[in-house]
Amino acid sequence: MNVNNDQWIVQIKKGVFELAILLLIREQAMYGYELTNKLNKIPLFSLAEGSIYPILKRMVNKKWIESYWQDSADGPRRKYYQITNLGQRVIKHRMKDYKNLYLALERLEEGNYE
Amino acid sequence: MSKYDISIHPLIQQYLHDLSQELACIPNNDREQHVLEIEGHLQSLVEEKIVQGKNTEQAIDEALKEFLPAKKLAKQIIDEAGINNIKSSVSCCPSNRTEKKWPLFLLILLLSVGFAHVAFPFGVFYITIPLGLIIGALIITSISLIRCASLLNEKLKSLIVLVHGLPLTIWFCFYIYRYIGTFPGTPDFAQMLNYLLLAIMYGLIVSILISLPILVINHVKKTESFN
Repeated sequence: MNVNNDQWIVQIKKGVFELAILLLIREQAMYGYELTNKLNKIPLFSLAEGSIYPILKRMVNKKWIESYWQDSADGPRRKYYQITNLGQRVIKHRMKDYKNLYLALERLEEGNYE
Repeated sequence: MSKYDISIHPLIQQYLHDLSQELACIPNNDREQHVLEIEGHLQSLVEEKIVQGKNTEQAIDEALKEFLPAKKLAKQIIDEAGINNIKSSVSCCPSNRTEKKWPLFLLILLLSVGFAHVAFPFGVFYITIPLGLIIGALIITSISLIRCASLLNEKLKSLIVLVHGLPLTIWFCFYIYRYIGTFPGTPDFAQMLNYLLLAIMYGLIVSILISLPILVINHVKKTESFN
């Protein structure tokens, strides 16, 4: 079996994209193209052009983020996404969960089954 | 440097038009916003490629190749939009439109239903016409209910074909068998014509009975989505 070729990482990434986007806009609102560029700089998070919009829509529906239109001096009008209070809480919980998950796996790897 | 407005390019126009068409089942305001947002993304992507040294045609060509196909992108957006925001989950989105063949299929189906229902009381078991009509009405009601349910649940779509197809096939075989048994030798064309006319009339009535609840459901779903 080719360990690099299975769907494991694809499944993992699906759950992590939302968190990655929340972390990116935590400090500053961003638009779809900008977010795609930032994510594509991290090989693990590379996204096809356009595929960020369904994810953003899902996150807006969950009220983790909200959007607004803004004119741009050097290009077309842009739809910016900013994090909500609920989104901030999601970051906190998810990061904690991921850390706990990683620690639990690490303990198993060390042979600590208790 | 004056920037190239990609929205005038025919390939971009085609992509955005396709996207808009594919998004036909989400509310107009949402659809326009999605198309505008994606147009902006394409504009930025093309500009980036021009800065990298590509000419406009190359930049647009590459940007469109890198972008998700309009149909796929629209499907993903619609999936995220949720069923409550969709005007009609079945019929208005081109990607979801499996009903393109429906009118012809409906016509053949309804004529078969009518024909089978006429054949049933006359030819199969020598039962009376009123009893045949009652059985027919019950079958129509069942088919209507399952058909309506299939509008609300995608998984039932395959079931409806079975529900329509199986009894009709059996009845039709019975009818042929009975007809040959009753009129051996030279066929009675007047009798055949009578059967045919009755079948067409019956088919029309059946089509109204089956279509009515479907139209009502579609209308209710449409009204709900706009409220």
